[in-house]
Amino acid sequence: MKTCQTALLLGVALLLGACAMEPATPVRMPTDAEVEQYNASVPPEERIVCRDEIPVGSNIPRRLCRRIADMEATSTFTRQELIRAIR
Amino acid sequence: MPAKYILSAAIILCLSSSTSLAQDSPSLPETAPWANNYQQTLAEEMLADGRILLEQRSFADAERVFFDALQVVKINNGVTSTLQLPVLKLLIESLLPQGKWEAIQQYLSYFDWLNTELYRTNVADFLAGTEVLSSLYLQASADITNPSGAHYLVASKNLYWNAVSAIEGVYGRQSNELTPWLYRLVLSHFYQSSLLDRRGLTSYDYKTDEPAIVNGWSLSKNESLEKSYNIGSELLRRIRDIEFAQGNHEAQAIAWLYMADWETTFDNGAKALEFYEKAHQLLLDSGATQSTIDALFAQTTVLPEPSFKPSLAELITQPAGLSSVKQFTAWSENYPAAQIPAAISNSSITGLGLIQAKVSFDYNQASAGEFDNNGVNRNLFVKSNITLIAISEDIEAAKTKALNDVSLLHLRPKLISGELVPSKGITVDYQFSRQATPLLLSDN
Repeated sequence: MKTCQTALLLGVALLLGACAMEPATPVRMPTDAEVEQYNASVPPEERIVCRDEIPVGSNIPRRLCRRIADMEATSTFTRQELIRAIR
Repeated sequence: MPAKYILSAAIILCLSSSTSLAQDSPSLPETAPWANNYQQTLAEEMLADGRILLEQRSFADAERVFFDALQVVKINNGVTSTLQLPVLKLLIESLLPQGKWEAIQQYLSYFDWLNTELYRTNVADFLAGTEVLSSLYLQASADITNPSGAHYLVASKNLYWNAVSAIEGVYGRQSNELTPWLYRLVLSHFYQSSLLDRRGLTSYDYKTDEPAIVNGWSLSKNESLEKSYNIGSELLRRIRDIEFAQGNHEAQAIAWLYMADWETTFDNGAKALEFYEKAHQLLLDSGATQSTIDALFAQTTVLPEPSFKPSLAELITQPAGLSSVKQFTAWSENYPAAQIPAAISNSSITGLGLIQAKVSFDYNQASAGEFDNNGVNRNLFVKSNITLIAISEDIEAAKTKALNDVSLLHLRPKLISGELVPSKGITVDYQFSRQATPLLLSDN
């Protein structure tokens, strides 16, 4: 009986812990149509791309939005670092 | 300046011409007065000549005349004058069949700049100009000889979005002015998905309206198709909500019908059927009779519809009880399953003559045993017994193309009293341009 109670308490604590890790007010990410409308109104370097990605350590996809310019900068940096490491 | 024009302009000036430059293109209203009556008449005479040359398919001569007319407008009214827009439209239309893509891009950009200037003064004129400009971009995207057709398609789509943003800013997010523009965007995504469906095409072209290739953020074909599907669904839901907010119950039911059509287009048979049933019920609730609704579902309709028609009267084009042959003119080799958009004139497609093929087939519900690779019976509607009955040109490549293209068509399923029924012996008179198939031209 005591084991059951402990397991239950542990379960509740884990659930609450999981809730606490989520932001208090989840931000609504823009829909595909909203992203396209935004991208049509800004210059190419300010455009964003949103996609559902599965983060490491989870099986639940999350919608992530990034600036294309940032993605390109990260990609260039990673490539340069890789080339530097290989040399 | 050719002396012929100076002489004829002088004569016309005396007769005081009754037509104005802007009137030749009804969707482009006159936005500025002419600074010089004599030059106005001269430009009108040149445009009339150019139009005749366009009809005679003397595109190079028409281009020269329209170019001269553009200079007349510029000199007399200034480089920022929106009186240039109707001339620019004709000039671009004379360049498109010649495939002068560099010049086309230059004039399209110039048109865009002038039109953006209009936005500051008059939103209605800006929207009219945007409609014309986007149709020119669409025409450019459909040309099979265009090396960057997708770029023009995306540019046209971005113009639609700019129009939507302008309407939302001026008239609000619930304005029914938005409906035609939102539906044009839905169609753009259908065209985009048609391009993506073609084998051997890379995907990065569809993500940007920049001619340069952007690295690092290309989406896969499946991801792109999913995005197009999602955006189309979302925009159709917006149309439905706008019609609901306006209290247009029939139009709201028709929006459900279009949502069902969209699911059919993307082979989501089960969801389509659910939406067709909803549309059927809402049409009954809005006061339509059962026989009228049956007449709607009895006619052969190729999807997607070329425009949003908010009433049953506009949707029913085939009289009840008449089993007529469905006429279908394919817009372009790039978009074989798409009808010519409402904004583009048929003459631009039919100029080189059409090949006509009569094809029959059955359109039924797939049997329960037919599943896709994921074990899901998504496509509830399938064509079978596709047979070529007749063709205007006895060329093997044309026969193969006709059969292949007809197999790509999406049709609205037949429903009687809301229940899906099989359709046997549907006949489509499928027409396609000779220009669309260089293979056919070389066969001859």
